[in-house]
Amino acid sequence: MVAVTLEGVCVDYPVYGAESRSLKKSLLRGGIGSRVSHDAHRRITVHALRDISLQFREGDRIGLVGPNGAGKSTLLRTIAGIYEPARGRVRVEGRITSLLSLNVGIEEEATGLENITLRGLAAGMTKREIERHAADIADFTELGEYLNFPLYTYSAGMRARLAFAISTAIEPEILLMDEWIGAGDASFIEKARDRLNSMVDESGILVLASHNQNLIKRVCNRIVELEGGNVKHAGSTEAFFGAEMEKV
Amino acid sequence: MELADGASKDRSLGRAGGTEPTEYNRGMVPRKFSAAELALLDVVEGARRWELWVAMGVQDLKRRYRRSILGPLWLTLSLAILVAALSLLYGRLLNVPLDRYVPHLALGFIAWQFIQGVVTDSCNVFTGHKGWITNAPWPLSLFVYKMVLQNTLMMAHNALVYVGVAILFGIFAGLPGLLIIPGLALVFVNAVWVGLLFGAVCARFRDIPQIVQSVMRVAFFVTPVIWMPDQLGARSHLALFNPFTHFVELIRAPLLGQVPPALTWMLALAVTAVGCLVTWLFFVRFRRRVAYWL
Repeated sequence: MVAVTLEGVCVDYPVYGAESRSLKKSLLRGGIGSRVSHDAHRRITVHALRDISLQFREGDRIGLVGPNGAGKSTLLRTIAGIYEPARGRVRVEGRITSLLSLNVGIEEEATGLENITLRGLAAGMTKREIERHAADIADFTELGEYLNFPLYTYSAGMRARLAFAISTAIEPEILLMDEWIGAGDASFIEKARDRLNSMVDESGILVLASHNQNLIKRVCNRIVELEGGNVKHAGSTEAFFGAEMEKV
Repeated sequence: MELADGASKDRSLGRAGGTEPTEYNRGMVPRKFSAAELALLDVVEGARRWELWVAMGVQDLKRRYRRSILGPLWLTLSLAILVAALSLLYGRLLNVPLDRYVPHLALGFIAWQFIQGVVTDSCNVFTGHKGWITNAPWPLSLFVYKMVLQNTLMMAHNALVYVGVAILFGIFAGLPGLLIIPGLALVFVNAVWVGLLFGAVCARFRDIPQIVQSVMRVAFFVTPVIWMPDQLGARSHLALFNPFTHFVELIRAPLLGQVPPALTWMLALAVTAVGCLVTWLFFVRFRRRVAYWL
């Protein structure tokens, strides 16, 4: 059973840059300069997610939509277990593969093949598993000769191909993806969609955050729309885009 | 134990949950993990994924020397030059016979460069991996192990200078040489707690790396690396207050064929115990905040 359950999840984010995260400030706090403040630590806090309750089940392909700063990436990171919620609970059943950034586990100076090893290890594969899958991965990327070139010669789309191929080489149970898949060209997105569909059909969950409506329409069967850290809308893709269409 | 079992089920270590002991699911059986268990899991899971941090550490070192002919042997060469130059000058200045001074200096530098490398690298062990840490719930210890490994690899290259010096001056460590094993073990344990503690504190307070740097610069001069402790004469006990003296000694003495004094072992063990305890308390309390601090 693969499932993700969020119950009343709130995530508050301290912002240090705005207030300067220096030791001096901390030491001087409570000194003459301090003012009475409602926040015990006089921190600037962003309420990135407010009371989110959601339930994702097997076969769900969730499209996470909403304007910039709506909390999409924060929600993905919270599900992944990177951010601990201030209140509420996150329950995850199944193994999470998070593809939130294109550049993690990527070594600029190393070749594509070397990066398959490195990123494969980062994705939780053993050396042996990587060797077993290396040919498949190379095939899927369609990068051919480029795999022997160092990564700094790659475009964003080529990186997306490489990263996606490696991370999905071992069937993920719960796949979290942010935006970047859109960096690929049409034929890659088509290929990626097929792989995602077959993966989710075999009892997985996909959560994909994107501004690319076409991508969302083609890949996802459920939509969660966030706005200002709240769930504005949750329902089937048809219902969501149907409503959009009516508005227009 | 269920804990280890759950960890191997799940490939990435999670840090999810509320502030209470959290409901935390690892694949099959839902169970609760306390903050202390999660901290322990972090340290164990990080070690378990050695294939990754070995690959990362080796890759980093390779990158630094890619397209250079000597590669990391530049480390060896530059230390050899440093030792040769300083020996000629300071050996004379301090009036120490070269067959005593050169081995002391070479081993002192090998040990010191490792210690200094670990302490200063600790400061950005988490800030330097912001991309990783905010992309997946990695065990934080993984980046510390990687950092210690990198410094160990550099020390291994520097150790070639010791081999040269040993041959040149006919040093054979003999039986006391075996004490390098417990000595290095102690040094490594300390490297890990320093990495976890400094890494987290420096992620939160960005002035600390600057402070650490200036402290380490002073520490170099008050640690007997380029000078001999017995030259302090009646005040030679002053050097003993400096913990770095003892950690350098743990590496240097055995390789010179000497047994490090009991005081050195006791102080090193005391520092290890206190350091591990403080780090543990801090890590249990703040581990999950590190991602927010980055």
